[in-house]
Amino acid sequence: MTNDSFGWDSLLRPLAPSHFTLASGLFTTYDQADERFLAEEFLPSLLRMDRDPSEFQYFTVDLERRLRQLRDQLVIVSSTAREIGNNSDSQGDHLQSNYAWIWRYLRALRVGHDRHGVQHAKLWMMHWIDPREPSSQMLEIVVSSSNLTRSSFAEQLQGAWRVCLPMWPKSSKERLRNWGLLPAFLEALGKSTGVDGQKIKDFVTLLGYAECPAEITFVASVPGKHSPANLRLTPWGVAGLNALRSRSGTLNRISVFSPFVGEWDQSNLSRWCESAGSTPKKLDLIWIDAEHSWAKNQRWILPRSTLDCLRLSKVQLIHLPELDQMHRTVARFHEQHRQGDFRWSHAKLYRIGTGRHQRVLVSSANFSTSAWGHFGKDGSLVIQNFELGVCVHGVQWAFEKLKDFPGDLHPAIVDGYPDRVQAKISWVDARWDGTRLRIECRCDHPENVNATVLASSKSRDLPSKLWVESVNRRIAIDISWTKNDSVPQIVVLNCEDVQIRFQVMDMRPEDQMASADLEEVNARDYEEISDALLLEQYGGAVVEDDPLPTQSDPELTQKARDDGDDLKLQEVALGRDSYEIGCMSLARLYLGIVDKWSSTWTRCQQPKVGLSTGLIASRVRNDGKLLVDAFGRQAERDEKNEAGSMVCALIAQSELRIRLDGANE
Amino acid sequence: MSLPIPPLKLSAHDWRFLADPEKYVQVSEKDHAHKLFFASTRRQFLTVKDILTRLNGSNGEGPMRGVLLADDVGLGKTSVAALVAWAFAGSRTAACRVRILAPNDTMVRRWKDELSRHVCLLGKCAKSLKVDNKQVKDAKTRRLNASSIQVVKHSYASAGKSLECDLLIVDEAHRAKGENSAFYQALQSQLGQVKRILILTATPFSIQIDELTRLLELVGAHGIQDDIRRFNSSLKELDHKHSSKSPDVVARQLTQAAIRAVEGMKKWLIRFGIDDLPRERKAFGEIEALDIPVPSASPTDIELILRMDRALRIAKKGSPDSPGATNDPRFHVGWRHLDAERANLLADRSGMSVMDVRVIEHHRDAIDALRCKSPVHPKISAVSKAVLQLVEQGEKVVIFCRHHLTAQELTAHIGRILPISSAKGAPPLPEWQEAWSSLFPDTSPAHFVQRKTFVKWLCSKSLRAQVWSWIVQAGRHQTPLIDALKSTSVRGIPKAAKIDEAAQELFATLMASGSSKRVLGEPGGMPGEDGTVNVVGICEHGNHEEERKYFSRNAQPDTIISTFNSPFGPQVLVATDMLSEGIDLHRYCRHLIHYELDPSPIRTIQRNGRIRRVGGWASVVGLPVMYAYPAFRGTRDERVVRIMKNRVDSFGLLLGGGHNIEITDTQADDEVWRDQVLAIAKLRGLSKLGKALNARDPRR
Repeated sequence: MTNDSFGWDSLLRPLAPSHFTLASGLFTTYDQADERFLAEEFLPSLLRMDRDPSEFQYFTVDLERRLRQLRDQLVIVSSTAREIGNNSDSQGDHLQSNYAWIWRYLRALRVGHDRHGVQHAKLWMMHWIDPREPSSQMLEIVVSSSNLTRSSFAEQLQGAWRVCLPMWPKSSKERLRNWGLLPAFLEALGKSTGVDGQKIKDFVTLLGYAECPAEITFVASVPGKHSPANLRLTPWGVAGLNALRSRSGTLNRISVFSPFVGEWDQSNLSRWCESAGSTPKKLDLIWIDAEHSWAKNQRWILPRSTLDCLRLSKVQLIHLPELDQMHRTVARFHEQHRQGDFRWSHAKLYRIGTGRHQRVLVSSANFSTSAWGHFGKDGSLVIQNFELGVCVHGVQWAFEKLKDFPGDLHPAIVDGYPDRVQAKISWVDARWDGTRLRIECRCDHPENVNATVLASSKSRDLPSKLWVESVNRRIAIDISWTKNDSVPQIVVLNCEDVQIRFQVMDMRPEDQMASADLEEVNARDYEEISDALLLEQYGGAVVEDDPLPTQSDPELTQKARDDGDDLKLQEVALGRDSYEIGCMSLARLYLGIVDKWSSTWTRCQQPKVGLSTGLIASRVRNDGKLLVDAFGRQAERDEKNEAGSMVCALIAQSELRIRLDGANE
Repeated sequence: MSLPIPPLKLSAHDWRFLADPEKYVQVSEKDHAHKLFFASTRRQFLTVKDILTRLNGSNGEGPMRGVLLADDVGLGKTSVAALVAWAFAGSRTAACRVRILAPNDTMVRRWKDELSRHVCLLGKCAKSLKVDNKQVKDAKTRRLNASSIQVVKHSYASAGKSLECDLLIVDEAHRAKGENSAFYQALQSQLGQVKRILILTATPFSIQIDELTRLLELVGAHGIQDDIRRFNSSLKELDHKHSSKSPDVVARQLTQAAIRAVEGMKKWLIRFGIDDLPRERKAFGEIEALDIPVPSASPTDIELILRMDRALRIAKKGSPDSPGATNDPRFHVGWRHLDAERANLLADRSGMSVMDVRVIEHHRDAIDALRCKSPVHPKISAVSKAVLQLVEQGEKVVIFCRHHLTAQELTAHIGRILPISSAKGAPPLPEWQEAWSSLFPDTSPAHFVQRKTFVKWLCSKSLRAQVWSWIVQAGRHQTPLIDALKSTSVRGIPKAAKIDEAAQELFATLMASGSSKRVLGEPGGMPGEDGTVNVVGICEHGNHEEERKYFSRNAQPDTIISTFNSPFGPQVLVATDMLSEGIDLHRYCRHLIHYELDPSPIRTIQRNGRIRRVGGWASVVGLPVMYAYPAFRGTRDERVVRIMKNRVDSFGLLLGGGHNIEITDTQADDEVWRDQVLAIAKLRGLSKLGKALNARDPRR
């Protein structure tokens, strides 16, 4: 949180070295991921794209190519149900963007397959591979408060913990165990998403290859009613704070910084504190006054009843004033957080400990019983949400110098706790395999559900009678849907006054996913741009219109001077390339691409140690095939530009064929 | 920091002969071998006087440490410098020591000849000077005494030997332009031991204008570097089109920068360009472009070059050779080097992977198939055809190449297509033998063998055919042969020398050269003696036995050069840049083809100077000197020609001289723009700017 380079998009910049390539990723969010944000900000950063979305066609084709390579390897898990009052982005607009096609390549899952649950955790897991040495791999983990929406980054301040760890060649059970609650959390999350649970289990496997950093503790919540016995095995929710108790028996001091405070009664508050080795008297809540800009639009919520409970329990309220004149020169949370910063904090931070033994918990969990659990009379803990946090040592607490709430200021509160609406549709799923479309949902009133499918060129209402009841309040529609009906993209489910829109997962085999499906770019342009990008990926520069550099090379000039080589000096004086002719430059450019492909392939042939090492080789071989075809098309384009120049690409094509034959042997 | 300039005790009284060039010419006319042209002598005398005045500090001007003499090639810098040298060494009051640095043995010889040539003339015209051949010393002289002139090679300085003297003359000083060259450093480090320095070069810079700055620094120039660099910056602006600036604005800036630079330099630099001298220009001949159409490279040609480049890049991947050498310039102008490289592609497989070998084999097979489609290089074919036409018109042609293999391939091809002349209707051999023997009588037993060989050569089939064609052309075929030889002008030009006269002159020239004398001492050494050759290449001859006849048979090319510079013998001379400096080829040749250009414009200017000289064939026949820059379009060769045009232009812009290399094809946008700017700048007076550097009469 003291990182000087902290900007609104800093969280998007991976820690893995820039030459590492993404092999797979898991991303959890509360709100459905904003596809425009994914396409224009999030994925380009992860996929190391440097093209600007304003170059729409190039950008789109580039993104599509990269996602195609990662098809089904990027998993996004979100909530289906919503809690009214929780600050979330409105859904809808993002489904109208130019990027609906990205869902063909992403696996979008929702929790709630078997029982109601809210996915509120913000976990990113990224598996990176060094394409130059595929056995060199890294696992990057981010635990934060950030949803996958633009507003989460642009309009909010977030708390985050991130780490990028080298991966060992082999998995180890001990390493897996060292990750604490995280593997179990992932297992539970996977189970809650239904049929694609295995996709999430793959990320549990990754944990076995990486060493968990020392002195961190994962604190997680999983929806359900957890008995004390179960909590001893898997201490979900507040039970997880038990590990933070002081060994000496000294009571912990706890500070809470959370934008949303749920409804608490004294009993639950007391038990929450007790679980964390503290008492309400040793609990601080850092809060804003009613005039604070974050109080507007109910961004920070504290029910009046909860404030009363806190006061009765002697919980101390610490005042977080608005940024003032002083914060022009002195930043508060990080360098960019100064007066004039309009963003509001969505971070959920807890400081727990005594004296020097203080830890900071960076979490997705608001200070609510939905997140931490509500104690039942039988001692069980009922949790509504999936939450995840990580407890770390040695983090500077940004609120150290704050003071008690002044008497003349009133805390920002809301009258009455926003009621939780029992989600009528608690889980949805839609997938199309090219011939059949299957829609499933879990609904309290299945008889009232109707569905509309939005395809690329039309929409179709599905009669209610087509729904077939499954188990556990799940119903399904399974209908014939071919490409002639155009590609289905969105399903709109209505149940009484509730409407949910969600994406159709494209489960077609790779060879049936033609580029023509990308309606945003016509087939001919797609082919041309795709070729250019592929050539560019392997070192070509055909995408750019910039001429090749013709300035003299200072190093060469100096070297020639140092050598006293007058002739060489003359040669380089007007530029190393001054004698270059178009066809030679072009041929060398194309053959440079062949070289790059060839060296990439050679590196892939190193002993395959570790996870997914064959993945890169498979990608490279496929690229080789694509390049052969691309050179053929490029030759025709070059010939149109300049008669006689087709030979350049054809030479490269002929050589690449030979190299590819060798690769296939 | 400028060095102190010690005074000289030269007396302007000694130079009075410089006011009377006419007398000098008249005296010279008594010696035909060293006939002087009045206009040239007058201009040279003016230059000598200007140099002496500047160095001595006469006429109220303070002395200068040095002068850079940058006259155009062929204007007689050596003569000027020789007279300056004698004015120093011959001064009875100053008794100066002069040291001359020449680039090589040939030039050392020429310097000695030049100094010697003036001994007799000065003896008659400048009696106050003490001038004697004995004053001229060679490298063996350890201590340079007063009134002596020592002529040594550049390597004398590079070896660190003392340069201490009153006047140091550095000939062909462009070789000292490289900042890190041993020669430059030697000169710079010993400047303190030299009272005065005279630097001679027709090309004080080639590509880097810093070279000019460095030479000017050697002669003590200061405070002008910024102006020269500013001009250079303006010039560099022409490299890329500025759409925001009009050509007019850029041309004005360029002209202003050039004016400032020239104004700054003229104190230390003296230069005459041939174009500045209307009275002498005729004696040099006008310049015209010889257009040789070369077809554009076909896809087959391009593919050959590209595949070879690729195959070599793979083959050289693991070797220390620079991969940059894979796009060898020779691949663009001939196939012989390409074939040689193709044969060696897989000669050394160490460091190659199995895949490398497989890929190289693939390209090699493709190259073989392509070579079958293009057996003769298109440029060689096109240029050879043009040469054939010129030869049929009775012209001699000199062709310069940069590389031996290219010269070799071109020579061999021209040799194959040039028809063998036949002496149809000519008198039988015995009559020729009798005629020539009587014209070269055995008066001196010392040169018996040489004369015999020379006469035998004159009687060879090709020489008989050649000479007979002139006789027939002049309508003297009914005249007795010996009379015809005495009365018929060579090459059908009445103003030219008579056949016998030319043969005598050639023999004398050959006998004056040690190596030619040796060639004449052995039978079969003269070019074309076997009667089959009309072209001769001075380059490595390769291993093609059937081609050996086309090439010089010994390392000393003097005999071939002398022969080519006579009306006799091969019509076509193909040479590398070994012959681009200090060699005369102008006497019977006015056609020069730059088949392959060296990157340096110095080479181009020097090459051109071989045939555009006072009294050259162009002035004899009253036709222009013809230069050709054929370019193989679509290849590196075309770029080379274009770049040379730009470089020669750059040179000429500041110093004048050079000439416009005509490129007929439309160029890139940038280049059209550049040419446009230059045309405007020249109209604004840039082309005449060089005149400001002309030598001036100190009295005016």
